[in-house]
Amino acid sequence: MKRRLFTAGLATLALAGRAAYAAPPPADIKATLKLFRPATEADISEVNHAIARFKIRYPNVEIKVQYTPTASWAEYINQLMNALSSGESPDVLNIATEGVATLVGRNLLYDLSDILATDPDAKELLADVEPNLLNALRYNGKLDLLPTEWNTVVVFYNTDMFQEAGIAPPAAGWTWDDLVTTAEKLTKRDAAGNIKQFGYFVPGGQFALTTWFQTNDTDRLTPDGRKSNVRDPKFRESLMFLHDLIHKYKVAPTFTVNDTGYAAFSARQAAMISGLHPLVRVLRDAKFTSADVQVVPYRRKQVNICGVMGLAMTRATKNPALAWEFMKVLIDRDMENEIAGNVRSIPARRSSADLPVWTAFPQHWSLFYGAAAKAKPLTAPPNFAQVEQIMMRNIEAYLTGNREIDPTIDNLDQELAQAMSRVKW
Amino acid sequence: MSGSGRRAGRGLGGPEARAGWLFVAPAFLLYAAFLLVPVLAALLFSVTEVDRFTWQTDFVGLDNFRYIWSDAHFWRSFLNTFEFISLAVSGNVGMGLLVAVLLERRMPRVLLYLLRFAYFMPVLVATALVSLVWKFLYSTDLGILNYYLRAIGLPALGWLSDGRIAMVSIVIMDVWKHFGFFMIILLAALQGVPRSLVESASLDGAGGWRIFWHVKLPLIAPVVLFCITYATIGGLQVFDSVRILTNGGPGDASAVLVLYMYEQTFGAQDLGTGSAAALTLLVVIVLVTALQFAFSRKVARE
Repeated sequence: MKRRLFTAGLATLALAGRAAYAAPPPADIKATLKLFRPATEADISEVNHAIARFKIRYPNVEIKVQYTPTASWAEYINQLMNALSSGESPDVLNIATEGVATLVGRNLLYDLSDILATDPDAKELLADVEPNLLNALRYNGKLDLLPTEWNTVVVFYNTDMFQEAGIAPPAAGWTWDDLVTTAEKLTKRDAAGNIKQFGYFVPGGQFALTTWFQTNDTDRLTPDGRKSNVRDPKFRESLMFLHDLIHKYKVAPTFTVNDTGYAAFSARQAAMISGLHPLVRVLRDAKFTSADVQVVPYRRKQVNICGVMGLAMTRATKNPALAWEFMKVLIDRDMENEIAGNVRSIPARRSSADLPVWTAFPQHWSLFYGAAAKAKPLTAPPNFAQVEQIMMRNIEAYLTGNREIDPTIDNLDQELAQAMSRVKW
Repeated sequence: MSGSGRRAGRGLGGPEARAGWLFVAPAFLLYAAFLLVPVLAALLFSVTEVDRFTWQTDFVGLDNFRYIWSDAHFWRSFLNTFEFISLAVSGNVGMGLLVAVLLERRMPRVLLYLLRFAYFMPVLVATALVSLVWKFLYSTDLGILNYYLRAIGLPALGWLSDGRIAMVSIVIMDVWKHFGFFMIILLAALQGVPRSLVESASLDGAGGWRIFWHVKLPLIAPVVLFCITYATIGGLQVFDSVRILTNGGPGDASAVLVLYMYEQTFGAQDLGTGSAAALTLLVVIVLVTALQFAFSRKVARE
């Protein structure tokens, strides 16, 4: 009898949970929701506008936002994990591909299956998003996050410098060798031999660096993300190529971890860099119009990388129905159009990436969303932050000339193998 | 004797004892909350695998210790920490002593206060802030140090990007930041040396160097040893300056033990290995401190 009552109770709770999605909370509900989000100036403005829209419907709901910088995703994930384990867990959070496995693997996110199957707003959003992008938010085939924006890596180049050097802009199918030839022509030295302008800038972040592995048909981890892959000769070749750009061809400046190169490109110290869409905003704000983009060069495989920013509810939320209503405001068309209007990133919605304000600059803007259908997500295991630390520490040692390639590969392999051996999948 | 003992025992009973316990309680509670409990928790975590979110705990014995002790990065961090200590302790205490000796002379009182304040001021500034400023000074392309090196025709140095000098760069900042603290302590010790002894030595014909070496230094030796012990413990715990200036790089050229602990605990989200590294560090600190105390007792006896 007791068991029957217990089962009936569970069923009632489950039904109540589903009913909450069917019927949003009443407008006079009093509650507090916590949001964990990245912290650029544009982010804050967009969130403030979203909160204002949400408050029209739910005036008595207080929204507390914890903004955290995303200079390094490993650091953002660390801060998020601290917040989640602090007892003051956010109700809604943003996390990119880099942290999806970290969160979903630990079962920290709310199961959106029912919502995605029934809510018309969720269906409307997903119909406007390139399906391939969702793969960057799935973990073991399951989707617990919805995309808000995404990014890929392209080569930004200074059109004036190309013109001055008398060379044609890079073509769509250009190779690593083409990059070296072009960068050599674009590197300028003064009478004393000091370099005044570099042809290329080796990116200091793992996301942009990964394109150099992917375009050589390799990566730092095996395709399932479970084991070290750095002993692959193609991985070694990629690292040696980057080393050569800095030390042999001398067409790129000293490698610096986390330096995107945006400052060097904006200051006209580098003619080409591997960059993400946020650089468009930097250039636009600096009224730097002599720039365009091209796909990254390749050696064995022409491929685009992608990383997607997802929005999710946490399992810890005490008010999932209300949190879902808030989430919808953070991914609605107004929000996406504002991301496009701020030229801050690539909006997840295809329709927003067609707005004139977003397509005004650079000339080949279509390369960004154009990559969505084929882009390959960054491989991000549950211990992404640890993998990033290991990778960047060892790559820095090699690219700054402090270590040879053999000990670098040995060290990377040993440290990655040890780190991956403790991951719980 | 036993009677006085009983009187003392009676003295600890009643309202006085309760008042005593009440006076002691706040300090003990703070000690328990912020030191005792974390130490016990670290002990527990070091032999378990803990999920920070569900608090599911599995006993793993010494696995966490085996993991870090077989990690080359741990041992590199371990050796780097001692490299940092040897350089930073010599620099901090040596520089502190040198400046204290220079200041321990007749000069206008205002000038003495001004100089003492100037040397001590960096101690008062947050290390994180100071590290950011030094990071800019050390910048390979934009740093002021390389600007002057180039201006006098010397090649620019990779202060933070060259593995051979990254640690030295951290130590330079550490000494600039902390030597003022040791200077104040050592200056007070020097000023405490009886003037009669210095005057006697002077009358016997001893010069400034001989007076310092044979009179003042032996008398302030216990204070110098305290400074060395204090600087060593601080060196073993170095973290913020390394984290901001190099994050242990390039590669692991400037990685230190506390940074390793931080990476394991918050990077790998692994409380077990982080705690194992912390306990290893604790044992090392205890051993080093015990050795230094034994040495200082020997010096004091002599």
